[in-house]
Amino acid sequence: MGEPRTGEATAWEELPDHVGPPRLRAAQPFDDFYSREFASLVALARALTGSTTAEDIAQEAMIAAYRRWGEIEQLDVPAAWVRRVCANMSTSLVRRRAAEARALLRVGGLRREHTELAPLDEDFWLQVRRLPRRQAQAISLHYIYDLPVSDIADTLGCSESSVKSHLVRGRTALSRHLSTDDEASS
Amino acid sequence: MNLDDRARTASDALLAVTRDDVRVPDALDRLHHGRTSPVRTGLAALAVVALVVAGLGGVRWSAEHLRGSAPAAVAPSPSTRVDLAVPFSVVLPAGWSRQVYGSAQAVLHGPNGFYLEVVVDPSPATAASATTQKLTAESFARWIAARTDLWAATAVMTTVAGQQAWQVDLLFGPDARPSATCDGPGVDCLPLIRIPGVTLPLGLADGTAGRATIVQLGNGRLIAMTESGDSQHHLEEVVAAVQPVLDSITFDHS
Repeated sequence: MGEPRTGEATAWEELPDHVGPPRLRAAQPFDDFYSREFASLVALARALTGSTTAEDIAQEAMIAAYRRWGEIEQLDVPAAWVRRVCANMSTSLVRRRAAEARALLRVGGLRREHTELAPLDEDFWLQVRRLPRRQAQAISLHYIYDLPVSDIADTLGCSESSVKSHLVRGRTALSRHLSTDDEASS
Repeated sequence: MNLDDRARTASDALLAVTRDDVRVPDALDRLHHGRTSPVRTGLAALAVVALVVAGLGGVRWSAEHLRGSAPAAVAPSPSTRVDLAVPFSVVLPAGWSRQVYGSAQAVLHGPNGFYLEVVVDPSPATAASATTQKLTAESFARWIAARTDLWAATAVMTTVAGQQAWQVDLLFGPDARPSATCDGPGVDCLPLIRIPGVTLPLGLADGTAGRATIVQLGNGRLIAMTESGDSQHHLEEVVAAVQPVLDSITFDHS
């Protein structure tokens, strides 16, 4: 199946199901996928970047999926693919944040506003972002999506033992920096 | 509160505010109608500059010079004059160099394979865009932004070296099909910008993102500048690396 073709798909979707070549029906599953996943994908990007550009990162990950939807939809868990792309884009962006911030200063008021989190919650994600890249990704996937270790491993493309290690180290660091009961009792 | 409780509270809060902030139908509509976000469309650039990311999957903005006669490479210097039909000066950081091709085209090469291409007196690359009206930076940028085979942000006004300019960000659309050869054999693209005296146009290669900035000079002439990357985010990296070079450009109107 080829990539969904935007313009044609829009027109065909208004016709009965039996009309039109089957490949064009791919547009609808993608839209469902998008509608189901996009908001949480933005949350993942925001968790990992803390940036008002989170929606753009999530959109870019979705665009990447859209461009290859014929392949992506064949995967066991298409969402895992797009989450991995989003997570990698987000942490890559973190490494470039100094440059991006300088660039965005030139743009002035074009940045999109978003609702602020409560200070306690914002501080939690700030500490997550200070973790090493893989730890931050594993922690974010674990808590935002409530994913088990095996699914995180599938998403990040690494072994379950690696994920366990990232989670343990990440959680230890977070407990220390956030002064939670875990740290107090340890 | 233990870490798990704190984490789940923070996650619930993040998901809740995100679902409130994000308008999924609008975002999906933007995707289907090929509109990239306007968030990063305002960085200043100069004329039409094509930044090619060599070594990362091929040429992006491409032109005949890439396979033409060997140009003269000039070592970087604190202030370098580029003698095109509209001459300009630029401060090239360490590791940068410039190449000049005739009187209409110059490429500023960065150390990481980036390059910024400057074209004097550019014009739209397709015959269908021919018009009897005088071409301006704004009309040129809007023509690019209106291309249905690209995903383009709205053209925005900016300034380059104190001159009014129009800038548009582009992404190779999923439905797009390369329609021209823009550089060496095997590299097809969507043609966008014609270079005076050069057969092959500048264009956007498959799967890449680009930024075109058209500068309107006081005497009515135009200069085009393009930058490109393997993705929108890579383009941002390119833009950030090139920005100091763009900021240092001054036109010699004498």
